[in-house]
Amino acid sequence: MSTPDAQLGVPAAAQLAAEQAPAEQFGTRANQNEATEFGMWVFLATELMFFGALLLGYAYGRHLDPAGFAEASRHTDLVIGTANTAILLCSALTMSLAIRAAQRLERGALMSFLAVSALLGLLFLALKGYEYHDDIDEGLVPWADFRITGVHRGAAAMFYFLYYALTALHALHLSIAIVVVLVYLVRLRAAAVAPYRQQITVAALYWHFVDGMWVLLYTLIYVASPRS
Amino acid sequence: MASPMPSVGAMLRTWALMLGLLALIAASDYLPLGPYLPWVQFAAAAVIVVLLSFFWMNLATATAAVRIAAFSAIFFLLVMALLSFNDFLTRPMDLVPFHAPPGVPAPR
Repeated sequence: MSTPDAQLGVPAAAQLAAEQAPAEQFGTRANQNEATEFGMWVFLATELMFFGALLLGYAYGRHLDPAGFAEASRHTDLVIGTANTAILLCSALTMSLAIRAAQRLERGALMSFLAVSALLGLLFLALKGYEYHDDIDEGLVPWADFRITGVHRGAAAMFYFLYYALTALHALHLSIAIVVVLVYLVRLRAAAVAPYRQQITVAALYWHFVDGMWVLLYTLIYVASPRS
Repeated sequence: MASPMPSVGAMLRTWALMLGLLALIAASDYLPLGPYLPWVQFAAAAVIVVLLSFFWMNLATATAAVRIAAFSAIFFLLVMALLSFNDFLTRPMDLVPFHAPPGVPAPR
């Protein structure tokens, strides 16, 4: 077993003792941790409902003209979409390993896994940016000389409007998650793990939410029609 | 103290299963599944999300309050969808083609 926070010279027992002291409005540290986790889940519930309105719009459009949505979906880049999903699933693994390291007070492992998670998140954003660039080049922007014509033009335009709205909203959320991870990385450079252990665990919930939401978006956007 | 995390081996197995399901979703786009295609894809995506939320977000070992908070959003989303589609799906579709009024250009 590795020595916790050996670089800082802070014994694990001292760290844990410091962590045990709850904020004044809580009776115990366990009580505070439970409230923190509950608060994040309530926040995630509101986030899900935030995305829910757009997802309802998608369901309406796809029901209204399934052929139009299928045609529009065939113009998306399945390779980049699948690669990005795999990247986020890898980042979910590294984030879970980071939490495990945090719970074991393994500072080096925690910082490494957080850094890899942030890098994978940045790689996702870079690929998404490249994909947007391609989409614009191919005339797949519904409000600017839209390339898809014919009877399904209206539905395809609705699909691409929702595509940009949902993926940009997701990218915004992922950017926030990356910034949060980077902030903890900076703080951990000169601090022990224990005071940040619960905060990082709760931040990981947000990261996983962003990953899960992308899996849903991938299924709705990139594979909405057979390509065979 | 947060819920205990699964072992590294369990995490790797969950991750491999998720990637396998992702491969299934991507490959299904090229399989002759007909009307079953979206059902296969959504089922695989749902399993990934369940694995993520139950094992890596610790919903499986969370308190009742946390589970209620998590499922309340899904419940109220379903209520919103049911109410919205209740109106949309029960209206008869107007099959009469659109006729532009005199002097108004027809839509493209």
